[in-house]
Amino acid sequence: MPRIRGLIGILLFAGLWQFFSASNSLLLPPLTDIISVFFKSLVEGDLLRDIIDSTCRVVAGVCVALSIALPLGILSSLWKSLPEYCSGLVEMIRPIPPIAWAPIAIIAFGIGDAPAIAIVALGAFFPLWFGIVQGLKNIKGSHLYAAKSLGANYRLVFTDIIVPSVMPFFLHGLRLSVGLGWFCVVAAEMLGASSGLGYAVQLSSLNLEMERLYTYLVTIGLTGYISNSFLMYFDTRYGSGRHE
Amino acid sequence: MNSWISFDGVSFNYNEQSVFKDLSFNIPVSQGVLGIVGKSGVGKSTFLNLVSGYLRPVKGSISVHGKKVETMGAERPVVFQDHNLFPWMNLIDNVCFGLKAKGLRRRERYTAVQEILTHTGLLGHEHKLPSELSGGMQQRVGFARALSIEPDCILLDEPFGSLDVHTSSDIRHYFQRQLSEHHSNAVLVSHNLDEAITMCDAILLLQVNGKYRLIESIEKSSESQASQLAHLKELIAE
Repeated sequence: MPRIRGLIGILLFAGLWQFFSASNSLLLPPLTDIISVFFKSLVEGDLLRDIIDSTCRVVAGVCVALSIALPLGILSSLWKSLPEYCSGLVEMIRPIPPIAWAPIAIIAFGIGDAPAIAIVALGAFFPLWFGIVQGLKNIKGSHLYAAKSLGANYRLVFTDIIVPSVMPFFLHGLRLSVGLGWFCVVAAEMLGASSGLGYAVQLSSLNLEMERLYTYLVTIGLTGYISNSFLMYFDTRYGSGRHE
Repeated sequence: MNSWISFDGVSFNYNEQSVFKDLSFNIPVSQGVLGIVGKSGVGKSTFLNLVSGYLRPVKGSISVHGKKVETMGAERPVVFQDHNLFPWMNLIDNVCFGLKAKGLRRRERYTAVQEILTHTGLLGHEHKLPSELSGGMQQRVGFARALSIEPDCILLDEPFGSLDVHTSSDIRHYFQRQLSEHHSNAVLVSHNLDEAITMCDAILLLQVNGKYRLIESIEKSSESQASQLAHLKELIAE
């Protein structure tokens, strides 16, 4: 039922859009035109290529963020004060919008995929890190007590108690990371890339191709929605769903 | 005299307040279950935490089966009042956790716990998560988890408190049978004096300011138990 209501909401919005497009077709081009451009771009392969390019940058950026956050998380499970040592630096860097690092990323990594990946990594790191730290804080002492009283060594405590305890917070952080990754990649591609959804949005706006612009905006929304649904599945199966 | 648990001049402070002061006693092997009773806040759970190795005494030493308690380990698993199961593991993995810690493979573990699951009435629910089980079943899982590793000594922290009378009686009988079959010992912390008198062979009454009284032998005839219960109540009221 909630899905049907959601679909009704989208259809109502589409109807209103179509109605108002008659009065200002530059700002709100008719939906029929947008759908036609969408399928044309899909058939020609531009849209699919841009989706793949942006997705690869998001995946690469999130992987870089994971490769930093996970070892730090494992270290934090051994050395409890580590998050406190990191907190000052993290709180200072976190409020800076990742896109503000774009000039530095371009100077450091040149033109191409690397600066976009670096910006995504920076944006994706913080939710992951906070998820892991929060998860470590929420490990129940009574579970550690029970495990040790049953003879568990540190390796078993880590794999069977610490990891599952942290998992819901980590998966929540991962969902936020991927969401932020999409924000960052679009912004980064608008500034300095030669492909991707953000680049296409920028190009369409410069050429005043509004149908194409909306096609890409809807595509960004859809890809974000699909990646979130994918991660929600894991969250329910291996995260909060197992901790009720 | 051959004792299975001995406290030798044990002192423990909590927030600079003395909980135990020079606590010394020996419980002979013939007295299989030691009960710990006393008013709230006298240190019953602290006592259990010391025996488990979770806490270390500031002075003195504790030995269980001749081995000095220094760290936590599978020799002294704990059955908790609030079950304390791992919510992300299904029933059988909870029960098998101690066997996994011993290094048994999955198939060996599952085979090893079949008898316990049958006796505790948990067979057929192996793949349910703790959240899908009733409180009574969760407590049975807690017992099965501790018994599966066949320890020499089991520590019970008010484990029957959350069970209904029928389930509590069933588990108690099963548990006592297991203890006698495996020649194991147990320390039972309880606020229920009837339960302590029925289940225990010796009772340590903890009092305020680190004082204690040890009742070294509990008679099992019903008349003796009634008089011992009355005596225990008087001591607690002091």
